[in-house]
Amino acid sequence: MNYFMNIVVVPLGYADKVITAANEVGATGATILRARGADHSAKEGLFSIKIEPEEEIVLIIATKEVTDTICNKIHEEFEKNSKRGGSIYILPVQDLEE
Amino acid sequence: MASHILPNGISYSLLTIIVNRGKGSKILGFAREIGARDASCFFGKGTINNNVLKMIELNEVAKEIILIVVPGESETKILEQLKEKFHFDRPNQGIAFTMPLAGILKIKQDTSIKWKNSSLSNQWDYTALFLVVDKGKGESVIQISQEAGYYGGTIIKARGSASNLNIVLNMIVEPEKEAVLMLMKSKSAHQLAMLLREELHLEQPNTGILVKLGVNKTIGLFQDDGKDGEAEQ
Repeated sequence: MNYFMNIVVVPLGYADKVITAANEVGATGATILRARGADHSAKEGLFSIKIEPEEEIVLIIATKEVTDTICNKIHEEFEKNSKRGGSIYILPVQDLEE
Repeated sequence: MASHILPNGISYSLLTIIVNRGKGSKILGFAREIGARDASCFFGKGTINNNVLKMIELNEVAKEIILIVVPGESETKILEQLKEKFHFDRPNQGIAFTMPLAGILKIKQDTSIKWKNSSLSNQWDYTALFLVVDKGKGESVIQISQEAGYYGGTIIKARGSASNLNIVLNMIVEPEKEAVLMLMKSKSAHQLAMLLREELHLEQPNTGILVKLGVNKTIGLFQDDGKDGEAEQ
């Protein structure tokens, strides 16, 4: 089976939303990492202090079909009731042991 | 639910950089300079393979891990720039590697995933092993791999959730987890994966998960002949 690792990067506090959405459509689990980003759209602040927004990274491993539905579901969920967006990167998985 | 396909010729890679703590912001600044699409940085801890240091429990180094999304065609150029700027050509300065992305989606901008058109090759020189285990087991993963002659890896603190969500008072309860990232030659990755599978009983449910990811290019890896793995960690 062809698996993919989904790397979902969202602002801090939105990880729960991602996981609830993903679980509804058949994800079997998720891992959350706390991170900080480099938002180049944010202006460089006073005294050239760079703004590094806090982020959460959610890792979900799923098959291609499930990946498709998860991504659509997350997109829908964020479209409906969220002000902020995020991005999803999909990495191909070579091999998997569970 | 038709998937959009990335325009021909354009592919993205995920550039992963592991450096000592404190350098992360500099690299995020570099990501900003090159106009990267997205970059994020998180903390981890690495291990030094040294018996003396191990005895006095000083074999841990604080690390930072940076993920940057870069266009596939400028991947080599960016790695060269990194090498020059952050001296990745010397040992113990950090490592960087790229992994090709199969797809990309901007939440609230794209409506469906842009999949990469061409199929991905299966010929990888290096493999990144990514494990998610319960908290506290991360060190034993490193220990197992070091005892078997491989180099260490980087431990990242994480939270996890299983398929049946534990919802208490409208809050999702997530057990603490540890993620371990190890980089090694593809041929030894399989052996180590089998070893870890046996040692950690990964075939049983709720023990952990092990994923092998193909790595495109690496810089900053220095290794003894015959031995595979991360010299830097």
